[in-house]
Amino acid sequence: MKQNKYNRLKIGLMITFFVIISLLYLMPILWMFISSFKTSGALFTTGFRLAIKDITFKNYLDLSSIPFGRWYINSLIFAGGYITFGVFICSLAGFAFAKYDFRFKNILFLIIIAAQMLPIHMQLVPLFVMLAKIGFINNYIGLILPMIANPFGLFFARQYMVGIPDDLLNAARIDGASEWQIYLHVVLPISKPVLAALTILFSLFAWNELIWPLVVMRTEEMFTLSVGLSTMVGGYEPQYGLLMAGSVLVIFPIIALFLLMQEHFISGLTAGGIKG
Amino acid sequence: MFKKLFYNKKIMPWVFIFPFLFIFAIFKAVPIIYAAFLSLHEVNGLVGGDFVGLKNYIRIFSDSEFYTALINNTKYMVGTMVTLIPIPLVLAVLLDSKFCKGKNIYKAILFIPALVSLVIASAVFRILLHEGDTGILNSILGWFGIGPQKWLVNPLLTIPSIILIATWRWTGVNIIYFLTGLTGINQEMYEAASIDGANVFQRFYYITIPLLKPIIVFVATLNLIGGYKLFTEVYVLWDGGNSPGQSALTLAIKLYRAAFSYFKMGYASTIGFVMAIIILIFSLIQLKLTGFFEEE
Repeated sequence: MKQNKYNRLKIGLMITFFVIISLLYLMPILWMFISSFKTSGALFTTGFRLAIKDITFKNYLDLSSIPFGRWYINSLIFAGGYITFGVFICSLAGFAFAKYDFRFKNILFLIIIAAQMLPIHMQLVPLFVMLAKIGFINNYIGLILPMIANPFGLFFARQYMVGIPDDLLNAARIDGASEWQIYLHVVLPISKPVLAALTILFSLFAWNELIWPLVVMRTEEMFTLSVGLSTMVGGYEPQYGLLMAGSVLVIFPIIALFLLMQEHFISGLTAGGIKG
Repeated sequence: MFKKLFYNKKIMPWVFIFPFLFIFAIFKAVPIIYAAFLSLHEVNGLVGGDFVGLKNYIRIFSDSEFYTALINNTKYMVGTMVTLIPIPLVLAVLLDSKFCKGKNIYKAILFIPALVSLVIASAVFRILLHEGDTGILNSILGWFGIGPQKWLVNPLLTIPSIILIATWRWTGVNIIYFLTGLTGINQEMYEAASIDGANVFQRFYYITIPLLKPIIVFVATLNLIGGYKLFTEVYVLWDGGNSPGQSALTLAIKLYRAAFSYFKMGYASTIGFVMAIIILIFSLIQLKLTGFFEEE
């Protein structure tokens, strides 16, 4: 009986502790939401106070005065292109590395993985110069194409596909399937979890990345959301209210998706091992 | 003829890797070689450039800003080690306890900050860290009788402010890593230790920490590598990275400025190369420590 009471106390303390921690970690997001209904002037002076009469929807309406919708579309194009082509070529090459023997296989794999360790920063300047020479600066192709051959994507796909039993592929071969049909109809359906994780990893990158689109996209109407929002903090009159309204519209779809498909998000982000 | 090709087990793997390899060669391999080439040249703008040998490398090692940046990156890296290992580790152990009810809810909530882009996170923290006494963090400190701090203005507090953002964003992800490790620990070990009279702290110190060592090493190296890539937070917190007294100047900010403010493409490439070497060394240490080389 006494033991029981002691355990209940522990459970209670645990709940209290984690509720406080959760509130602490949610606070910045909550604050973004609240700030999006304040005027830019009131943001810094009212502190915790939010009077009903101060609530304004002006920030959301004012988003139409900047190319916010265009940035949203650009980010969707970036994410869509990156996912479509990136997941396709990574899974295709990952399949070859997982299930076939060919010359130079190990050395090629090693070179690709070694390249993954190099930071994108090293390639920024050469890529910019190369893209400028062929006229792909400020261009969707120039934004997407250099990103899609993602060594990590290949590695992740390969690791998963190694686990597919060879018997399954051979059975398909006996049934008269070509190697391409095996990829399309046997390997891809089995690999759904890894394809989902890659999709999430790539789309979060496209949605959140700053430095790469900042280098490639040079005019306002070609900015992605990250680049566009980063231009709003600077200057003599930063438009924080507007910025917070935009931020709410950027992160809430992601959070909604996360709540729907938590496991895929977690495996995509943790497997990525990339902080940023 | 064409159809037969699809059945060829010798040729099809090459067809499968071709798109990846082609794009990889053009947009990954060539830029790396080109970066090496550019770093040996003095290039102003996009065209031309004179071969200058190792001049850019000599210049970088006599550039005081380079050392400032290196030290700032290192400070940030050390800071994330101090926060982003113990905090997630303790939270993961608590979440793993049988007395923790509703752990999936807490896990999800703590993970959400990782979904917020660095641009938005930095923008929100510009508001939270506002230096006046109406700033949000300063208001909270006020409840405990601590005076308002000039977070983003005082050069001593700029790096701690970035560490705060990193800690907020990444705790949830590291919790997942540690929880994965904790599920692998046999519960009987704890029970045996309890019977032998080990208290909670002794069990944590003598069982949990040693068994989680591979994961701790993994998380530490992620911090190590991430520490030298720092860019976005500084760029957004101080309007393009003009932090007070260069107190948050980083290698990536220096590279970006050299390339896109001063158009010194050769020198910028040199900075990129040096960054890559630093990160490569740490990555190799990570692979060595996590036993990658023994596996295959």
